[in-house]
Amino acid sequence: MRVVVVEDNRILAEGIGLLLTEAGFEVAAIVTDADAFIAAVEEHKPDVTVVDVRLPPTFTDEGLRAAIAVRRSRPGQPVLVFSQYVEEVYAAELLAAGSEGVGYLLKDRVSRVEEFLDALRRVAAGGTVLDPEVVSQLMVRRHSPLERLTPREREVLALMAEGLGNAEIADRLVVTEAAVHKHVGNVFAKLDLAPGDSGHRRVLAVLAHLGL
Amino acid sequence: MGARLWRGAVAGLFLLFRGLIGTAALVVAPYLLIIGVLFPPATTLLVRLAELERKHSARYLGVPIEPAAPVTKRRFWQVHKLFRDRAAGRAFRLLLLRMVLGIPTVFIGSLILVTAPAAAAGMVFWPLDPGGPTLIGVPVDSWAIALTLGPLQIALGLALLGWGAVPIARGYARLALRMLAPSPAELEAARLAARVDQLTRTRAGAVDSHGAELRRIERDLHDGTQAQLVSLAMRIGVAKQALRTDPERAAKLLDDARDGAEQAMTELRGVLRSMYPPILADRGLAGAVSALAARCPVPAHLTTSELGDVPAAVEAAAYFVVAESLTNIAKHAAATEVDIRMDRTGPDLRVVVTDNGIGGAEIGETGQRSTGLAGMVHRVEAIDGALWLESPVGGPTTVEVTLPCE
Repeated sequence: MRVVVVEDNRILAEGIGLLLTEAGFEVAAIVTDADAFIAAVEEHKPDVTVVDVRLPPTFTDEGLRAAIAVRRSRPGQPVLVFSQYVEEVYAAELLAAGSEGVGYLLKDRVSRVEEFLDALRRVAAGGTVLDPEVVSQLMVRRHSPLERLTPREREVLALMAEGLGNAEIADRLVVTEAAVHKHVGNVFAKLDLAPGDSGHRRVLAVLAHLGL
Repeated sequence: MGARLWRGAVAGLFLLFRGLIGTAALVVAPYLLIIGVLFPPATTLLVRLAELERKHSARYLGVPIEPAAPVTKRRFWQVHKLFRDRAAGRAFRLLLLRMVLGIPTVFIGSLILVTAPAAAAGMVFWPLDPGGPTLIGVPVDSWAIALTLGPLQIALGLALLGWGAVPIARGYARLALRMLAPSPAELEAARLAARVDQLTRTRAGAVDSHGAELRRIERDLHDGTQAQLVSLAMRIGVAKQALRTDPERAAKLLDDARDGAEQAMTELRGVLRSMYPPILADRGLAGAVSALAARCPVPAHLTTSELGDVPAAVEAAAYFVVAESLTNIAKHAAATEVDIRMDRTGPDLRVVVTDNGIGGAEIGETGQRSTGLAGMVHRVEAIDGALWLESPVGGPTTVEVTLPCE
């Protein structure tokens, strides 16, 4: 799988490059600013890109804006955006430009190598990945309807919002897939959501319910 | 007519009174002046007396006056200061004027008040002392004189009372004001001195709070992040040692090490957020507060106007005030609507958060009902701002904060 990495911190960029190469990805380019990012995507047509939100020259949200621009010019281009800190507002903006093949993670998650790689593969496959911290921010906000859920159901809801499928949720919670399926059904029933959606549309439904 | 005469009488009394003071000063002043050179309280007294004159004159004229320039403090040997003190100089000059004009003023004042009544009395009672009383300077010794000159003097007296007294008194008062008014330059100097005082005080307060903030950050980093990194390094060290003999244990230790690293990262993010929220740097105050509003469980509506240049510390304080208020509203207020308003009124940034909840919030509550309002007040006062809380039981609640930006 071909990856373009956009990160201005050299140490971190090299670390990610190393991580990806070890895991079997082909690192097509490592660039350090938004313009180079857009050019690299045009040139290499990668399967997925990894972009830092904060890039030169102003170190505010150039990466985020470039990611949105890239997705507008190449719809569906999988982009994993990661940031020093997560803000619900940024997640909303990113998802507004289409939610297929979009990820928003905290930079610190890179340390959990297997999970990071898994998220990258999911984004490349067209899924949606949201950092647990954004999800917990969302869950805090919508406190009252969620009170109807049991703690386990709330966990399942959070993992769904993060973009995990049933099998992955089962792995994470160390339960059977059937149990997950049952919990998912309960959640949808209690929150009055239309059941039967799966995959990326399910994530959207959950996020929409949480108010993103 | 009656009002006119009454005003004239008041004018006459004014002149009489001031004239008497002037005459008294004539007697006492030379001593005061001599003492005053060496004895600062005496000069202070003289200046205060002059100020009193100015106040009375202003009150008579019905003119508002600015407060007096402060009296220069000096020690008794610092005579040169006396000569440079303009307020003292003016006071002395006025006193001199009063002394010079004292007796004539008494005379004029008396004349105003007494002319008509004296004429009336002289006209009627002259038989008791023929040739004694005079009417317009002419001794009265016959009814003819009494009845012709009497009314004449009464008329003159009334004219003086009705038309002459007031202009004379006003002129006198205006003279006093002109002589005693501090020059615009002096007033400006006094205002600047007061401002310097205020700035010195608030700067000391700001330096203090800055120091407290630095200590808090140092403590957080030292006790939190640094300790975790040390523990992390230890675990990696032990893992390295266990690598050859017990690889499984080494793997477990490395897992622990990674957990510790993540914990350190999370805590560090918390510290950074408490110092200066990153979104504030990225999106500015309006953007950051709008994100807070979007994130609030209770529907929150933000209205903001052009805020101009706002210092980072003020932005951070405003952000934290809104964040804390919204947290309180979500926790305690049972509200259905929140209104956030931010605008720039002159040199101040104003933030108002209103909710339609149950009210009853108090600064300084602790425990279950803790609202963090006391912390907000502290933060706001540290940058010279002010906080108002209006929260009657039953609501609505308003938190208003004013933060100076200059």
